[in-house]
Amino acid sequence: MANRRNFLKGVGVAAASSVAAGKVTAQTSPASNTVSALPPSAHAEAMELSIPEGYTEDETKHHFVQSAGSDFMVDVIKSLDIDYISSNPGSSFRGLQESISVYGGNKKPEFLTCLHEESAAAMAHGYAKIAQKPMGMACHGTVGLQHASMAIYNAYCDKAPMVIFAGNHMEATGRRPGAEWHHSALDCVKLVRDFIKWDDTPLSLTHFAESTVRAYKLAVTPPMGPVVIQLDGHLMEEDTHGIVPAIPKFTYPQPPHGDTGALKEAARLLINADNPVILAGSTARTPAGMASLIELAELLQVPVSGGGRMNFPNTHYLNQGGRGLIRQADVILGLEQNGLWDTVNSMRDLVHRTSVRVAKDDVKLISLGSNDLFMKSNYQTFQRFQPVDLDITGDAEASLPYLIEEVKKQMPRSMRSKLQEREKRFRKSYEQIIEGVRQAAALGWNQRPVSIDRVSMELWDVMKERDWSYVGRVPPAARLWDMDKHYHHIGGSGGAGVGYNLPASIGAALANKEHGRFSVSIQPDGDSLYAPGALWTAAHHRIPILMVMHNNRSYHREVMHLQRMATRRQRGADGAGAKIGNVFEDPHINFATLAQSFGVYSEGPITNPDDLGPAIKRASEIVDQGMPALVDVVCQPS
Amino acid sequence: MINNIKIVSCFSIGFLFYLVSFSNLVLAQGATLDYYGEINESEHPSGYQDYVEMGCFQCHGFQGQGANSPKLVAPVIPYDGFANQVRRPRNTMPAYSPNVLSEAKLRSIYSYLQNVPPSPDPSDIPLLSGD
Repeated sequence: MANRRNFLKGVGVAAASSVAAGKVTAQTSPASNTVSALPPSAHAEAMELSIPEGYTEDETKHHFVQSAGSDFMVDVIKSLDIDYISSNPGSSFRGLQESISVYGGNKKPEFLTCLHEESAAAMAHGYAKIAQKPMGMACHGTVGLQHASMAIYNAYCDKAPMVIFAGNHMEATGRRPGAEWHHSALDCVKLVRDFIKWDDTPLSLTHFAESTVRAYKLAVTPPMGPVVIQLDGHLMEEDTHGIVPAIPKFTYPQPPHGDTGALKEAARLLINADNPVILAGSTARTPAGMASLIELAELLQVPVSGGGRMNFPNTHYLNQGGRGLIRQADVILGLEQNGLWDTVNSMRDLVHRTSVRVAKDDVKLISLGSNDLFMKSNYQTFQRFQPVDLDITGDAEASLPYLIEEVKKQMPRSMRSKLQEREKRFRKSYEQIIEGVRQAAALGWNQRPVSIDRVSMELWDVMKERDWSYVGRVPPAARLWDMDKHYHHIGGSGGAGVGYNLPASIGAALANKEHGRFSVSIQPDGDSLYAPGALWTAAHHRIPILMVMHNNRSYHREVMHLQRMATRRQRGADGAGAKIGNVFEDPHINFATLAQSFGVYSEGPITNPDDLGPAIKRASEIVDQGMPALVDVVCQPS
Repeated sequence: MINNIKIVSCFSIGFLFYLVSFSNLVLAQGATLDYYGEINESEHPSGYQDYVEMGCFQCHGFQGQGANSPKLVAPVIPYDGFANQVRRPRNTMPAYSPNVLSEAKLRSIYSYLQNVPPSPDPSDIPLLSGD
């Protein structure tokens, strides 16, 4: 135990700061393997330690706390370089909230006011994908975690880290009657344990410090994911009398790479292949990962089929796609590929769900990824099992440099003409793809409802001159934009849980803010209605983001599902069957006035495509001033 | 409709329930999938209403431009191939039997696709021309 007033300066914060940005250099060992709490300001120290005028020492102890347990918790959080705590306030963690706001100066971490716990968790999800480090999230362990559970599940499926602090009151005889009992549980984390990486319930401050550092470490170790620390109310609110434990030093974990012998064999298979294909999956978290993927693809002149996040430039001639590539492939390298079976085969959504093999029977399949390092059984996120020829367990991004070195070592000079032929072929097919996309975008260009290609290109007109970042799900018309930076899109929700896009895009925009990037998102209307209060959070915290509401007045996917059911049962496709429950009419929803009510600049609903460009330009000027803006557009489905 | 004939002869509580639900169905079928309403009030080529009411736009866009599925125009394939794809589709498209999509409506939809106004050349659209 150490008195936090006699702290050792600096070690912990510097350690976390230098590594959280993804640097993988070894850490210099400090003299001690622990660091102390951080210093309070002189004013705060004087206020906390003094006996107020007119009070006896006993009265002071009875009425006041000199140094709260949650102050130390904030020190631990600061030591991990956590910049924000997203939260909807709750009494079960009131001690922590006060410590963040006042003791911690509401800075690193800053308390982000969210209007729903699901928004708070989804904001942390989106933030992590841009910031490349976790956000903290605080909620009631019972009623808050239940609200947040959907967004936590999305983050789990998407392998996004976040550190959740869940308030609880473990000591039953100290609970206030009424709500505090409703807000307490034997094991509140049980609700989400199937879709988090780790959790603990610290019963002392030493325990809290060790478990929080451990939780952070596990959250950022690939495959990444959410972790939960249960906060005991009494531990937060009790007086430490200035005696607090040391904070363990955090060292950024080195991601595991694949076995070098297996990578050597993978290189051999790729070199000897006539029609190799790379499936990028969810690999490449950082610019370095993207650069590695480009280097590998160019070395071998292998087409890359992108995954659910930005990992290969769409301006690159090797960015290809489609079943045709898979049909011709003799070697397929799947990187962090969760759905390899679905790539090799195709299942049709017909009365009898039949599947057909798409790939050649003798195709060699190589799997390189970290999915097998962390898998749970209850929620079936792991997709159908696909036998492979070479199964390499390890983080793909960390493994790519080794694979590249092996390819360079083994590649014979005689391959040059083969590589040149491939390059020529793929450059030609790339040009055809792009021309086809342009032609398709012209179809319906001037029509109403506005086509999504028109929306995309009107957006592009304001994006192209800025350092932009698309913070929504995969852009509907991605081929129309030049996307070549790792922050040019953040991918989807992971778990396909509706309600992700609006808060996650705002969380990602917050991470972009410090880089001065222009954040853009096309918001699905149904998704945005789950927790529209996230708009207020964007306005309140001055988070610049340009949102275009893709207002197709429906849960479009569900309409199509119902059409499928109705036609299959021969009950017609033109009736209410496909509409009931799926369509937003009578009345139509006006997202512009909704946004306006939350203090967000808005325009629309826009129905004339010629009105769209000017509206987007005006909205983008608001975003340039550091504020959110929304343009509501009545669009065709996409 | 076929089931309706069978059940009409039954005077049972079940029949009453059926009458209620069937009458709802009839009313419901008067509805349209065109919940964009006023936006589509402008003039359109013949067959547009059938195209929209049958929900073709959900996957293929209002102008058959394709959205998350193949485009249907530029060019429009010959009618026999088009009809075959609608009745016995390849891949994941659901089958539309004559019970839900009559031959007349199918031809009407085909007629609409043939008469979709030509789109501008992408080179004439500044945002698509790359200039």
